[in-house]
Amino acid sequence: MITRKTFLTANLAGLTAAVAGLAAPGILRAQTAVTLDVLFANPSFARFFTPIAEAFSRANPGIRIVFRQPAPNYDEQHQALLRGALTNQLPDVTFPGFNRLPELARTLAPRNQILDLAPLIAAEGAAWKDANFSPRMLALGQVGGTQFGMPFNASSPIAYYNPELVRRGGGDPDAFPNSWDGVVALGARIKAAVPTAMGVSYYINSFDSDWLWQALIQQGGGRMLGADGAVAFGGPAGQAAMVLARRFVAEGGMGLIGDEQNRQQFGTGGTGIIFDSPARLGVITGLVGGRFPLRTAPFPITDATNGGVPTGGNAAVILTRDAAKREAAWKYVKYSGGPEAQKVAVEMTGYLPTNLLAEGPDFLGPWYAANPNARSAAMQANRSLPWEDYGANGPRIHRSQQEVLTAVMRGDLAPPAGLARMVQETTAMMRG
Amino acid sequence: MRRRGLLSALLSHAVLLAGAVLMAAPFLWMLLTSIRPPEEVFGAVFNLVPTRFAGIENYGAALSQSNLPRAMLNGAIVCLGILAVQLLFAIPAAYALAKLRFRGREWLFGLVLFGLCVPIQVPALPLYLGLAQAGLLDSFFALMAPFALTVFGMFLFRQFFRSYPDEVLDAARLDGMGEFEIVWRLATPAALPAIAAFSIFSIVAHWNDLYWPLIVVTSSGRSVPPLAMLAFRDTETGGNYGALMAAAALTTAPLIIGFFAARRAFLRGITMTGPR
Repeated sequence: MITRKTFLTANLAGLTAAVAGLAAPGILRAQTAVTLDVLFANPSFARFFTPIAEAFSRANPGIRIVFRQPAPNYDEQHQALLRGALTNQLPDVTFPGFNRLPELARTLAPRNQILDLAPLIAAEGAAWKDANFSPRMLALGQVGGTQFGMPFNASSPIAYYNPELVRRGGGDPDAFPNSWDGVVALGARIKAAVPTAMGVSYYINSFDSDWLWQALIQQGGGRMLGADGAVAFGGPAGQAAMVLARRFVAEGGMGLIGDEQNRQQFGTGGTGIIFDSPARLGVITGLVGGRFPLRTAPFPITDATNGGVPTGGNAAVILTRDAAKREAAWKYVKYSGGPEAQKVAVEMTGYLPTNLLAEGPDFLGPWYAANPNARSAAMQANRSLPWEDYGANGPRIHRSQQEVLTAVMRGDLAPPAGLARMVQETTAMMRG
Repeated sequence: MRRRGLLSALLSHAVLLAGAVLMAAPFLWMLLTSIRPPEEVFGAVFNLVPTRFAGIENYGAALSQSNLPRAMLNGAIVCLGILAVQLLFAIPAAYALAKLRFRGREWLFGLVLFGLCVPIQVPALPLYLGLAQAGLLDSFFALMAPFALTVFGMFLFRQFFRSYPDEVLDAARLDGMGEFEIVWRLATPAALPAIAAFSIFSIVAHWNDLYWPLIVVTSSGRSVPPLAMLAFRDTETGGNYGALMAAAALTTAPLIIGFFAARRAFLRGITMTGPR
């Protein structure tokens, strides 16, 4: 009741100000409006956060969105949130990375500093929920069965390829292989036809997270961690992934260079096939710069029933404890996950939409028709699996896994021995 | 004899030239990249001079796509504020350490030397918690306060004041000047080269500092240049290198201009304050 009253006064104040003239319209409105303090990571994301907030404020004139200085990346954001929790400086709404969400929720939930979104979603009705979100997408925002986050940006690795090199390797650019054997064989033929080029590059040796390595295991039906939280990639899916890692180098003509160098070399036409985030579509298109007609394809999946791809990106979470702000924050979070906001974010980044309606003809349909390269990510949206998190030691575990992978890819270590060592080292580091 | 002199002069200039090229190359690269179109930043074919002039779009992006102008104003306020307070405290303290005789002087100077060994990361957590308790986070005060007292400045000025002739001080005292008057009217003007050298060190350090602003700044209205530049350097979607280099060029320009303006005094200050 109170909130409705404040909402009305806000509208009235805005109206009076508009009628009274342009003297000081902002001041009157600012006194009654709810202001949401919002933090997101990756400063370049301002290019879609800002227009979405503007559109939201037009639809909800009583709510103002004020962004904090964006955090440089998800890890810095995580640190800032932990500091904020300690000193009561938390923003009202924030967008943590999927791989940081579990630790954040586990830290903030006992302190009552993070809101469970499930009752709010339930209040909107089951029909609304089913029309907007697939269960697999909503699951990305859950921690231990509680819906703390509303998925906002989502991405899973896709293939980028150079159709001219594929053709020279005797492949058909319109039919990208949908199996890993096919990818490696095509890479080998490109390498044979153009000896100075790399046929295929799958740069898990230098990627800045373990995302691509998880993808190689999850597509084969494996998981990094079991239901009990123990290391679970020592099975057949892990064996197959490790063998594949070596084959990229031994057969596909891959050289062990850095991830940025890989993107640059691909951009100059020196690599046939690479795998990377769809969020980099804009950057890679820029690097290619018209040298060849860049194409993309969905990530090959070996295990059709259990296979999937790890999902990067972020989810919206509500941290404020003030009732009026919570109501406003839910409106903002709901809008962010809605089709209008998703259309803006997807068109600017190449992320896949987290909302089912967004792919429809009213929103992204025409854009996908005009930008077929962006569609590969959306085509595998129903393959989304969580980006699995090892906990506080995650970055160290990633580095040690990368060393083992490099040794295997270089041929210094046989794939089965490499997998055994990786399982052992990861288990040891998870324990302490 | 003259031949040998010529040869050694040539040789030493060649070494200096090589050093200068090595130092200046990154800046030249920055300026060149800032006018390069994105598809040429990493090209298979290398052109020293860009084939298409993209300076307008890069500098336009640097100025419009982030809060760089506001951040540069904030940076200027913070740097000059820090410098003013630093000089206000460091000059009298250094004078006392160099010229006044009192018990515990060597001990205090030892503390100054000890302070030189403590990096900002050590007191960062208590400072942050203190500022948070006082409700002062995200303010100019939070950006400036930890750097108001400079042990480096005290050390530098002390070395400088030690060479200041005692006879002048005694004469001034005989004429009835107080110690503070001596500091501000005699010692400070004489120390201008040292002050110029110190000012450059101080301004460069705080203008480029990312660590502390990243911790205490949360609103974009308090952003400083390194924070604003992050908008173009992004691990998630990759960066806009042209705009990044344009922003870097804009951020470095005031420093380079400042250095050239104070170059003579700076070099004199460095050569005159060596430990003796």
